[in-house]
Amino acid sequence: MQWFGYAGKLLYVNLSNGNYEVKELAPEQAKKYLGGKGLAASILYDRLQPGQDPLGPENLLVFATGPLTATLAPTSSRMIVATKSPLTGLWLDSNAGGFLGREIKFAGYDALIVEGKSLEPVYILIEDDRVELRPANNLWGKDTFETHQTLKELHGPDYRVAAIGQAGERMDKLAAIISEARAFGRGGAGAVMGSKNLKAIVVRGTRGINIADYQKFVDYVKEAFNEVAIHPDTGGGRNHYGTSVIYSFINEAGVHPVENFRKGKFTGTDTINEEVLRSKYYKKDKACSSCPIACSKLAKVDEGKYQGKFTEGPEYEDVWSFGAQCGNTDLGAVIYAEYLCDAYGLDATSVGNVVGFAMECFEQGALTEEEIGYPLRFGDTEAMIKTVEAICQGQGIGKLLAQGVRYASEQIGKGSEKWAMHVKGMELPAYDPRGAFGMGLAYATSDRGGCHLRSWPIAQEVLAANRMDPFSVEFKAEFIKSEQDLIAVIDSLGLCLFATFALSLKQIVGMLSALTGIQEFNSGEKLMVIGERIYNLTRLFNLREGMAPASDTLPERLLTEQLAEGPAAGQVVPLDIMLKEYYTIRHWDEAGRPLPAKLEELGL
Amino acid sequence: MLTVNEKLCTGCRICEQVCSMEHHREFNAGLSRIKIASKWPEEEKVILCRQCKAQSCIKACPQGALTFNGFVVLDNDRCDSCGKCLEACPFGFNLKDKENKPLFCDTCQGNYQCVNWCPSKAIRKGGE
Repeated sequence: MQWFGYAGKLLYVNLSNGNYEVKELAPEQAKKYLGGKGLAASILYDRLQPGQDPLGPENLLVFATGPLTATLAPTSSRMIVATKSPLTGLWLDSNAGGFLGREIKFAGYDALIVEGKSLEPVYILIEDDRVELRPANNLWGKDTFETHQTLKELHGPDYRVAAIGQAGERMDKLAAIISEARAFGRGGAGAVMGSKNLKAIVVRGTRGINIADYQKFVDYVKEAFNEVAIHPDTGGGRNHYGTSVIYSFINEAGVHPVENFRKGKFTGTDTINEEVLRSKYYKKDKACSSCPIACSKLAKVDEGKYQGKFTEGPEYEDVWSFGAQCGNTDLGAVIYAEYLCDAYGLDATSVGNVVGFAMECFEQGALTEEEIGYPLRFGDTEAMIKTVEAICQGQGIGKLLAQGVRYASEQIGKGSEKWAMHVKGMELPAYDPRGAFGMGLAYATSDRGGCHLRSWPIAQEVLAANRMDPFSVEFKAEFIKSEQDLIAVIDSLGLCLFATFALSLKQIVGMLSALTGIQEFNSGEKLMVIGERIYNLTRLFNLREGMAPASDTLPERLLTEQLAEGPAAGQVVPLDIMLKEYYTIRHWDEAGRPLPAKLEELGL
Repeated sequence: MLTVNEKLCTGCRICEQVCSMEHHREFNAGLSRIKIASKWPEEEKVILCRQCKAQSCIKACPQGALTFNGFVVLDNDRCDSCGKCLEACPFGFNLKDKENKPLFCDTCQGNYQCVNWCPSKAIRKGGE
């Protein structure tokens, strides 16, 4: 079959026996699941037996691109890694931009599926048709920066690399996969790579991607570029500040969690905000493949204790996790902490969350100075950095904290479960849902646990000019459901979520159908059905893995403890009402199981 | 003549995509006449024929396959892939196709699509 947009091939690599196989992408599979997240969900659901150890050889790692990946569509850099998460024991898809997706596509594959486990450390080398396992003993123990450098020196600067650091090698549950400056951060995909003795993948592709209707595609892409350029976010604030553009807005709205979600408004913002980041640390704009937004900002510390340390970002989530979450007001320390997480290969959002958790444990007496080795109080920047270093190096208390807040709180006990701010085992990010109720429902029903990237009602509840009432439950279930379905589509196409700020679904449909020529993609309604199908499939995956119905919830603190001050003072999240309505709208039963009629309608 | 400001380049490689799309109607960075060379984590280097006045490439060609007509024009039949033109380039231009023939910018018939599409204005037409 002649493919447009798609590469049309899937590469299966088995690390246990060193064999690989190239299979045709089935047209029905593409039409039913698009690509990216949807394609990976269908592969994992079919091939992974339920109940397997996420860190056992049976688990799969699926690196999947979408049909738009590696084209000229604005922000079409994205790809996902999907696996069964060692952090949650459930579905995980972790998304990143950069250039890895483009290179995999240019090498001629829509997805790379890694199975089994190598006896010795290896990396996978892909050069178009040529696929090899190479020994990685000399790379084992190296951080991600050194690993990239060594592999690029060996193979050439045009080769794209994704690697784990020492955290992935140790199979820490918070381990990420790092590709140049981008991270497949959340959920512990790096630990799965480590469990397979897979240090890196190295890719070089020289093939082309075809366009079905050239002139139409060019016209739609031109229109899309124009929309992105004139939109006040994508063409303005985000382009200037990066993802930290929202920092002051979020804090002023009282939904910026402080000291492990005990407060909702940070007072240390004289030295930590988007303006300081821009004026004091910003060096240069960086962009992912085909992205005119360039939200990635190279930041570097010029003087002081953290001199010379750099990162692309720091992203809003990490300015929070190593800022307000730990009570730290030094942006230089945030940059250093993010640098460490990139180097050792860790999820910086979760790492900051778990350090804040440990601080609360210390202040409440559940962790002692003896156990930690030093006092660990909120606002103590040096102690925060020490703890991040301990997590990175797998030393002392860091060893425990690197397994995430749920596991750490279970081990520590003493009532610390109450301070573990996670959903389904994944650490919560940088928004307090007591000041934005929809965000609470989004956290509770995200298919990979406590994450803001399956629906982000913050845009409507906090940032928009015509805001939805953040303290109302009205329309929230409906909104979250439809945004989750839409984002499942975006994550399957290879576009970035930020594109949806500027582009309508109609414009995305225009680019996609002109590119692929596939009839089944020619309307927004059809794509939304695919999105709903994908979101139901990841739900089925989670239920099959034994997810308890009661786990669609929030940490007790957000349901019972009122915030004392700020715009959200006196509020708790009325989750039950929204959740009930959400299940009804999704046609799921009261235990959150999709009803047979819905599954039949979706062809599942 | 094209001018490049590498400090402005974000490394998005939209120019590469546009160039291969314009000339070959497909996305294929290997066919692009412009390349953003990665020196990650350092700054990108923009590689393209700048249509400079020195024209060392034309003088260096033993086959007489190169002429100048606002840009460097390659006579495909005369070119024997010797690579002398690229060796002579003072800007380090070195892009070749799969037959090792040089990939000079042809200005997209004066439309300069890479200039039109570059979102950070890192590539400009001389004098603009």
